[in-house]
Amino acid sequence: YADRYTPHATSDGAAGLWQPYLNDHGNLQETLWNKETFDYFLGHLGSPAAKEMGLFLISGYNLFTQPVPDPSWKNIVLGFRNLTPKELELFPGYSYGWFNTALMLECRSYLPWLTNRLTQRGVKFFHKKVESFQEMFARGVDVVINCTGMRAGELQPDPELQPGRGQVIKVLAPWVKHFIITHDIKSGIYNSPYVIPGSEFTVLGGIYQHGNWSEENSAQDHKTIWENCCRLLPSLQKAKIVQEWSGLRPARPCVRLERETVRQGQFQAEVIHNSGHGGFGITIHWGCAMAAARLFGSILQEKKLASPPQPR
Amino acid sequence: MAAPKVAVVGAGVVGLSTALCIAETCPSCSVTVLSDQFSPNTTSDVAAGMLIPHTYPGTPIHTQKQWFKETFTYLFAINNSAEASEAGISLISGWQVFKNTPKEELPFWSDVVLGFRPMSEAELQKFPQHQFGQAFTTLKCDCPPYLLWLEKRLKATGVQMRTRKVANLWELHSEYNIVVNCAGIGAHQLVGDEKLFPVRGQVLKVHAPWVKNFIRDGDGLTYIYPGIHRVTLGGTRERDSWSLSPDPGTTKDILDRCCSLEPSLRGAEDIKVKVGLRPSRQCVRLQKEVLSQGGVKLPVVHNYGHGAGGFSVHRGTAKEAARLVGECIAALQGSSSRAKL
Repeated sequence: YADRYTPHATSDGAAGLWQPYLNDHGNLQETLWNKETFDYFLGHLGSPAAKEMGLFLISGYNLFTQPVPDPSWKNIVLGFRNLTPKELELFPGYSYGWFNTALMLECRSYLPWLTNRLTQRGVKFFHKKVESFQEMFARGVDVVINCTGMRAGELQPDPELQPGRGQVIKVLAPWVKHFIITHDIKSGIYNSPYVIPGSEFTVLGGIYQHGNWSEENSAQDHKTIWENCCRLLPSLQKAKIVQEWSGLRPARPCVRLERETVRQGQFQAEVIHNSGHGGFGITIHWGCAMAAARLFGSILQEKKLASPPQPR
Repeated sequence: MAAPKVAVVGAGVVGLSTALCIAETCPSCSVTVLSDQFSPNTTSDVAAGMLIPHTYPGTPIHTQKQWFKETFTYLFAINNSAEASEAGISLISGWQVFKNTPKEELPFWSDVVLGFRPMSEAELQKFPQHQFGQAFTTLKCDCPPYLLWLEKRLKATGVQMRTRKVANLWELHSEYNIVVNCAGIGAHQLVGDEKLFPVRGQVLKVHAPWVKNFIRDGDGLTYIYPGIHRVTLGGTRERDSWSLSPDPGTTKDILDRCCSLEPSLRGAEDIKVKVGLRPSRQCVRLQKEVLSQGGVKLPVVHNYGHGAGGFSVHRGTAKEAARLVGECIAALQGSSSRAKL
């Protein structure tokens, strides 16, 4: 059930680069889920489905104005290393950085591919806004898996869930073959320019506004993104702008991945929450999906034990 | 002498870049490029334009390294400017993989390209048939854009370009003071150089925009070079073959070999086949010669025979050729002032 499907989901605005935040804040479980996701898709690179999934390898740069500790994901990606002085000449103003090879998973292809696979397995899709868990239970649903992202708070208040507003400019710049992500420790994650080339378009970004619920494109943000990215990569001055988009990263101090028994009156049913993936949804999604599936498995187990076997 | 008249024969990457270097170093010169073919019909247009040097057995390594370094530095600056896309220049990272560990683990150019290092175990897992590999970042010149950009810059400095089939260099002696021979494979006929031989290369140019890294087998025969709009898949090295006709069996073989390195290429679309003859020689012929007939002299500077390495050293050899042209001009001016005495 959803009121928005691809290409109108938050996921569709993401460039699709696998890369966790720099700092895992001691959240080892999330690092494991990130690794699970990377390894799973790395294994699928050679498969005939890769193109249809929008999955491919990409190399690139993370840039800093001062030395920083290595990230939790340095051994997950391929070929992680520090930048050489000559490479830093490519990026005036930055004195330190990393090079590595990671994955791209473009949602404009991935979500339709998933939809096809689900349809083949008999999954039904409803274009409908769900107003409450109870609405589902009243229909006889036993288990609700809550993947409502930014608007999870409408189903159940979650004060820890806040929007991390982002805006991006999609351009045609097929000569750009690397991702370039800059970091400004002071302004925080994604508030510094980034350039991420996709299979057709290149995404320019660098906006993260905590607490801003607006999904309207801002002219000021456009100017910030455009000027900063062109300064970072002068060849972008000749790139053709194709689209502008803003969306809300469903930000939380940590991902909400847990089971909950919800009761109301005579209804009791199980909810599995899988939301609050911030700006790293693509990066972490497979590990989280597997964990949610395991929670679902335990629910099934319990239900089997609870109901006695039917007499033949 | 008033404005020396220089003819550059050949309009591939070597001819155009040499003409540009001459115009830059000798602003008083009148430079004309003469060629029977211009982009998109030159040998250069078939090449991927990757900056990965070919080693010439007959040229000192330090010279080759100097040429490569000059070329890399020149293109690096264009890559970092707003002109990069018009000039067809892009920065690209990737891997060179070997089925057997090479004797020479560090090629002479490893410190000119960026970030050169051996591949990690995890990276090599992507290439189960290969035991060893090197990762690095280099530059690529897409043609026709790069040649068209050179032509544009030439026109801006007043260099003329003329379509003309030159049958022999001597025919130019009455119109020009100095001739620069950048005829590539054409030099075989133009100056009768028996040491110059074709190495036929067939390539595919395909639409596969999700391929962002280059992959090259260290044997030089199989490679995947993503360009701005198309990926060049190669290739062949057929010595002494003069055939410019695409071979369908070869096309299938190239596709198979490339797909074994990068399986996603099975989804490549709009496959275009091209053939070029690498103008190969033991060493690049980069030297002066004076042709004379009946007391009339014609100084010639040769700059041809770059084989598989034209793009990698083009700017370096162009600058050297321009320097030699400068020597020819000085010699002509010296003898003309002696004639006046």
